[in-house]
Amino acid sequence: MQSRSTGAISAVYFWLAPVALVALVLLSLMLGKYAIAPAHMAHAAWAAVTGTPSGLPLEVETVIWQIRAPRVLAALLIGAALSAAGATYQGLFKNPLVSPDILGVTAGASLGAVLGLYFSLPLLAIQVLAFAGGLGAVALVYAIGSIVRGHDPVLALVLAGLAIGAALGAMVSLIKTLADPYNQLPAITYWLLGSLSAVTPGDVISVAPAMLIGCATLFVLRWRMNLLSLEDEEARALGVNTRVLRAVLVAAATLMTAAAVSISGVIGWIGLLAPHVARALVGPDFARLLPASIMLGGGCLVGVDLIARNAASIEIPLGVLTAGLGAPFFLYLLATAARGWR
Amino acid sequence: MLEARALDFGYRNTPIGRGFALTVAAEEAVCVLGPNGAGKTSLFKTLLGLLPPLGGEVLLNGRGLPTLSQRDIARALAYVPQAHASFFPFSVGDIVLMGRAARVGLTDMPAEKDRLIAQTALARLRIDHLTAIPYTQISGGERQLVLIARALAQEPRCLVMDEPTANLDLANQARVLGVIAELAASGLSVLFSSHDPNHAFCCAKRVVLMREGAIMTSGAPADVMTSAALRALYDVDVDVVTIGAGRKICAPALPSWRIGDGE
Repeated sequence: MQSRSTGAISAVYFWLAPVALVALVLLSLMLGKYAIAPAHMAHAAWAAVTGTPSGLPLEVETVIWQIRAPRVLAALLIGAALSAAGATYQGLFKNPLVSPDILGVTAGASLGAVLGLYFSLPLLAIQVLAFAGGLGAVALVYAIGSIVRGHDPVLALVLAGLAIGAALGAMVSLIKTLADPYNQLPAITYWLLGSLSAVTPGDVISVAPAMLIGCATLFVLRWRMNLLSLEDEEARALGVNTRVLRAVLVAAATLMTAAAVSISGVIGWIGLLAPHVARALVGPDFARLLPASIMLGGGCLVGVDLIARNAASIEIPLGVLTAGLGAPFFLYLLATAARGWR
Repeated sequence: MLEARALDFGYRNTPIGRGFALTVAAEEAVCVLGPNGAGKTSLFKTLLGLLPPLGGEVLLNGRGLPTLSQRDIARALAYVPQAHASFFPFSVGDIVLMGRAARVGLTDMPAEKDRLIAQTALARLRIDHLTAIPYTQISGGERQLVLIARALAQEPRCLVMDEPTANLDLANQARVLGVIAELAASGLSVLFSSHDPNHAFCCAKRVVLMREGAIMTSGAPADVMTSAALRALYDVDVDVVTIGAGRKICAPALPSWRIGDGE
């Protein structure tokens, strides 16, 4: 009885989710300071799918494909990456309230980007520094977590991440106090709140490989991933090389998160909430949780970015919106969703 | 067959056992009894290859554990931990399917055959009606049976069970002990620990009385589990009595009952 109704519900989500996602993407391409008529959007989409000329005015084509499409695509990729990484970390750390920055990837990326902004480096260098900072921080945390013996390896990682994250945060704060308050500080603050307004098609192309490699790795290991949410010794007794598997999964999730953060700045909450909600919808089996998290996370950020662009006359920083919308939603979950919480 | 030869085990800074020798043959259930802190869990972890031995060796079907990968070990030796809460609401079927990890390719999904084996393991323990229920929503006794089913899905030749009857009510204890006897009879080597000496009488062919990392005595339960031996093992007076058909049971003899007797 129970399984039948759960099965029917997940079958609905299975079809509903991609359709809703496509609808949201189309809506996102239409809405903005220069609104696109639904008929024009349909023409443009049809033309793009069939590869024929649309016959639409040039400015309509430009707004859809040059201005909005890269941004919407970036939102889709970044939301999906953060959410997939969050789902992975939540499984690895056996904790549904873990976000992708638990091992210091965001703190490391922030330090990299803030250093780049402090030294007034070009945008590409800032992105490279952010990416390298994110990977470097997690590598450091992982190295420390592996050296510490006599603890549960997962706990050692979390504690190392906590300490390194705090140290990196202190350095970011130090640079903020040293930065020029008129030019650099606003740029730093803005970066730390996350935004997609400066994303170019080139940015999307440059981070897509890292995201796809990470995502493909998670996809290939989607069943085996489940075993890491058991106690470490139990998983080993089932024949899993937990040390190697955990390292591979952390590397994949970190690659995706660092790539995302390097072009968008810090966007909180999505990587925590989207996989959490996905688990409540499709259950904890990673083979189903991963695609659900990817669609939900991607859709979430497309939606949030849509609000950021349209809700006010100035653009609202994404970090403000994700936290502003995420925190109340989180409290709502806390109050109502007893089932699927654990 | 699972064998420990001159095994030193424990942790580098705190060794627990020295020169431990133990053999669990096929079609045999061996029960390890001992007070808290006797080193039962450390011994089991060493036998499972989860804790490196400090000396000596562990042989699994005649081959030393260091020559085997964790995956090879898991194909021949399964571990049944104490029933625990799961972190995520995996279905019972998903949990048992995890027992196939050592036989499913590293990047593969379990095949139909694996699902069938998992289902058969559940049916063998008569809990196949739980397949679709979340593991977090079943009782402690059912969880223990699910973990045994998961171990069976590994298709092992040896089973190591760490206090499989802990936290279970009487009926569920009996159920698990019945399963242990059945599995041993079907050809498996079963090693389990318990805090109730009666469990050794129930279903063990041999019992190992273990204290401070060493074997005090071992042999058939009816022979070695005397009042004196259990007194020495637990530091408490134990009455061992024979009930019908040569069956033995035991219980601690508390001083207050003697006072009651005198009045």
